[in-house]
Amino acid sequence: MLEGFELQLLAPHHQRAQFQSQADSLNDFLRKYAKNQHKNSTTRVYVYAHREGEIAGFFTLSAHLLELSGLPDSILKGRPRLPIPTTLLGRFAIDQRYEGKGLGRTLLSYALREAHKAAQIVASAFVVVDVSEDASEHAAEFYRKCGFVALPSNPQRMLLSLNDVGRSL
Amino acid sequence: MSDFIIAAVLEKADETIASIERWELREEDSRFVMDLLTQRRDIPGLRELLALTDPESAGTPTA
Repeated sequence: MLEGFELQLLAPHHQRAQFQSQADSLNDFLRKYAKNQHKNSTTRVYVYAHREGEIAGFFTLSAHLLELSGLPDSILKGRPRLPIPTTLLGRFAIDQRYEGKGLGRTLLSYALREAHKAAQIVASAFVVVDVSEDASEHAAEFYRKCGFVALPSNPQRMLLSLNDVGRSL
Repeated sequence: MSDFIIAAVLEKADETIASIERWELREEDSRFVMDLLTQRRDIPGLRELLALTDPESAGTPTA
């Protein structure tokens, strides 16, 4: 936790242009696209920001679907053949000036709490993340330690049950 | 609201759902996800992580 900083939904006073993480694509997202996507409710943008507007980190949550295939009736057990609603933790970044202070864990903790809270209103079974190839094994290990598991055929795609989150609160 | 309007709204909802990003899983991954749906896991690391933002000591988001 940083003195004077708190989790907030993205708002006009937040200093998006000054945000500088190691990933240019995430900096660009925050500067160019986050405001409209948040405003249009296609993505919810959360910032960990000072009350005066400085952003130390941010993450996004949005609706997502897992479409299953090839399952026999014996496994489906009467469940409808519909995609499974999930919550995508789509973007996640820390400003370089605040790296090494444990903010990554703090933001992930907030993200899981927010995802769980939302799932009590609109159902969602998992939080899913797609760990980029650039982020490497270090990022995957970070999520694994927090309970995420990787899909067998694609270790970059990881998920965590929101029921498990609920039991751990 | 007429039945026609309701049906039209539902049709629109289908379009909205179709536009949401989705992962189409292979059979192997689908079985894995179905198992996860019914599992109850105790994850010490997750408990520790969530304790970092216990609402008793942390703020809640504001617009």
